[in-house]
Amino acid sequence: MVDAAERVVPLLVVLPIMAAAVVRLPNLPGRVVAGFSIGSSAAMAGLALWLLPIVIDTPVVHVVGGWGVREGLVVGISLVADGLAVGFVALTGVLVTTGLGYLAASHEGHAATDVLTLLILAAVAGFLLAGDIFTMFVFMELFGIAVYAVTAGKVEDPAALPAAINVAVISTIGAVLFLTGVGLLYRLTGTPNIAQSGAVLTDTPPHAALAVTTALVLGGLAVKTGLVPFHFAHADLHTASWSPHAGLLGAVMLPIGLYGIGRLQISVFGGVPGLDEAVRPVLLVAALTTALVGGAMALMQDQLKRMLAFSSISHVGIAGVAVAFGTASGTAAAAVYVVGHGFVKVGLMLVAGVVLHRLGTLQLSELAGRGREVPVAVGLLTVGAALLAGMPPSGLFAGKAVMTGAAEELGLGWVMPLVYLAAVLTGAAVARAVSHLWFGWPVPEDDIGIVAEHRPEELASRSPRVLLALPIALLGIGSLLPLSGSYLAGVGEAAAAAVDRELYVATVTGGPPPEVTASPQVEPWTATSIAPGVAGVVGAAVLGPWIAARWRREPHLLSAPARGLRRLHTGLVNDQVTWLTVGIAGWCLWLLVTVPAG
Amino acid sequence: MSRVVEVLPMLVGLWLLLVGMYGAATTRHLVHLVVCVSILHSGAWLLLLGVGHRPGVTAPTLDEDVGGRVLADPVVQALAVTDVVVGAAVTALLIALTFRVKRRFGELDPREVHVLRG
Amino acid sequence: MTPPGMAATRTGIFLVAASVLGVALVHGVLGLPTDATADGPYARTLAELAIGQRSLNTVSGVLFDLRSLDTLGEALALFAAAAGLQVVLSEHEGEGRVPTPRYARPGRTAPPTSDAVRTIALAFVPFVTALALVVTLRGHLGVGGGLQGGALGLAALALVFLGGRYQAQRRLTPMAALDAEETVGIGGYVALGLAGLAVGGSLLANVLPLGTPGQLLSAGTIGVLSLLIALEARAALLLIVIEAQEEPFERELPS
Repeated sequence: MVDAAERVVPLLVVLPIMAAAVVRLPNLPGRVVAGFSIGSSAAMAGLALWLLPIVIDTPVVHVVGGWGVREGLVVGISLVADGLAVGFVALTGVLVTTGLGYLAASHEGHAATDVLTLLILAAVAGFLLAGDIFTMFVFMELFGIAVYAVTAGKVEDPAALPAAINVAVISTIGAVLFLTGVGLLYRLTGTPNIAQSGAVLTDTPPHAALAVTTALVLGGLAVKTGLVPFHFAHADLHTASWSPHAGLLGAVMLPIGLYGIGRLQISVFGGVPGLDEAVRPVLLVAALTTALVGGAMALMQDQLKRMLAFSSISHVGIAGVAVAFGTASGTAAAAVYVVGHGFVKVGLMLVAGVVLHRLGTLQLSELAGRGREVPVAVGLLTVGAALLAGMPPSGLFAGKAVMTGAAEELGLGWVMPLVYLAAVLTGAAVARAVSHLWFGWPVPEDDIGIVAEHRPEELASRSPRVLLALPIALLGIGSLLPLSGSYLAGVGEAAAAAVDRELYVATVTGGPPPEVTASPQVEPWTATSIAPGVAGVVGAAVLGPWIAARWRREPHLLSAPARGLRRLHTGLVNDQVTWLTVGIAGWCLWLLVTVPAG
Repeated sequence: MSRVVEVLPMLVGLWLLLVGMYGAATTRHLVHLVVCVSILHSGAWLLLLGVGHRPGVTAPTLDEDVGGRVLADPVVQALAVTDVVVGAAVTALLIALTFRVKRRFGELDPREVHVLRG
Repeated sequence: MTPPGMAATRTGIFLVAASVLGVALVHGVLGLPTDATADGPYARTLAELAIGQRSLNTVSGVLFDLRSLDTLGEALALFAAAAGLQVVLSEHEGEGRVPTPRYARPGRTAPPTSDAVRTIALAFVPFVTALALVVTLRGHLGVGGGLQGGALGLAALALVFLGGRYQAQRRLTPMAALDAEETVGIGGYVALGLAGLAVGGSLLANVLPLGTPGQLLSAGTIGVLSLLIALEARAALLLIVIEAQEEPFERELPS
């Protein structure tokens, strides 16, 4: 079984690549392209789901080219399939399959969109499984290129072009900073293998070069994750991308940056005394700020997809708070949260796509009152609003419940009210949109938010009603999955393995496996968790409509700080590069000051 | 002296990185922006080569007699080659997007084409 | 529209942040240990293993055997860029793109090229083509490799274009053939990788006979993978260049 599993691991990366190469053939009929893409991505998701129970307690390593350990050195590239990575690959596979299905059913996109989507899938799998920091970088760049190429291919939308340019620039600068850090790390440890560099660094005294390296590696990944102040370009990209991709970007692309941060922080830098304590606060503050800024920005949006885009940023911030804990229970909370959010967000983005198809616009001012033409979609948005606010038993509820326990273990209980507030803001945002859609309350003219309109030509006639079945299924899975006890137990085991640096090192370098650490109890159903979950939903249900009714009719009631925050989102590449520089300088400065000199 | 030779390529790489970022932060022309991104990308390559370089090493091929000298680190060279190709792909896409901006907006000033705001 | 004062403020903020970043980076580089990785066990072992695989060029050995997955990822970046570019630069309503640039229309000559440029460019075509082949096929023997070879393959056709023979260049590179060449390049690389998985038990295992060092047919899959990457790189780069050539810049030139 393990032998077969070991051979399946590389297929997760290679299968979508092969499919992309085939689909690239000229003059294939559209139906063949769609069928082949969906089939390959579903097959890949199936393999990942088959692999998941095998690797969850014993991680499996595949060494590419057979270049395993020689004289104690890992010479080749290892692909490390542990529960967290394979679970994430499976999530991506399922969501990409749904997205491709939506593209095929709605006649959006081109053959190249399918090619690039398959490459995104391969790149995500490569990034997640990579046990080698160079390989991580290569696949990170690949998915960057595929993501902005796919968005730029949405040529009928004037917003897509500048958004793709800006994110290409920001993400390239982020990648170059990461690569600089990787270069320095290679110089410090003499190996690109994650496990081996972690072993080399364990118990070495920290020094300035190591602090800068850490800041560049983790800060570069934070750029990819869209943590404040790196989120500007991401929000624009999500707004402008195809509906399924907009969902995937929030559900998978941003969280894999968090996965990278968590993986490298634990496995590479975790053993350096004092470094961990220095990194956690900056990550916690960045993630918490991201959650709140994203929530506030979502609430103020007048375009449905842009609202959901900022909501993604906020929820990734919430998951980032759990990653910043660095404990097994924090990691489990982040995993439950990301899975729950992934299904819900792709589902909601597909609903937005259907609204666009049927009503021809996503601008709330033009949609006011027209929700009655699409009652099912409005119903799904209402459910989505409750889920984003953290309705039990969804993953967004369960994740926050587990996170509460993890925060209290560390004495960080004060972050949880802020986390709940951020989630309520994103739920209220969608509730506000629903109020406008259904009751027809006017959306006042706004001098700040200028969002491109995109009205695809007569798509409504070609868009089948069955399209709504996909978001129904996704929202259903996202809300019901945490009811499965074996799912929660599996996440706990995977999280315990993921934070165990000794286990990771032993798995990759072939040393004796350490004693198995106890898995954290992943139990969201506690007396103290249900009350805030319900309160969050009620809060969103009150706040959203109240704002729709009052605030926006009298725009001057929008307070000066809120207006100022919106004005910072200029969509101008110069501003975004400046923000990036400020952010990365902040990471470097913080670590240089707080890391004890060896 | 050898310490200077050793770190100089890396320092120049850092300089290119920062200069490219300055250009990207102040540019008023998209083609200029693409060039800035290329420049900051090449800073990283130089830094990588600097990481694997040491005074006295020779090119890591054995088709000529190396006379017992140490070979330069082939790993960072391979990574640099890899990233050069990635950089070419990024530049090609950015230039293509710039073409389209010109076609669509008739403008190449980023201040004129930022559509999404607020 | 950004008010003028804001640009100055932004530049000021940038300069402060960049100075902090710059100081931190320099601090980091100067704090590195003095012993370089060139002597390190990892670099030395990889170089030795590459030579053991009969690849006298250790960089090629690393690229196409020891770390061949990275090379696949990097070729895919070009593959993705070419696919994206074809969509991005295709023609759309309301943009007034002339379907074919003037120099591509039948009966039109290229923008004026001097006889000297034309003659020299065309004279170099066979040599550059031969060089592309040599560089590609000798990647495991000396300086060279698939990526460089692919780029030279592009250079040969760029010389045809420079020589004023745009139509000839396009006839030599039909778009459908380039798309197929990409499939062969990437598909072949993956297929060989899967063969390694089936025969050798690991993805991209070098399962072909290694042969004698210094001979053309040696080093097992290194040469084959290098050739496939050359095909992919050539096709992707050509697709990118052709799309750019189609862009009707000469609209702006005085006629």
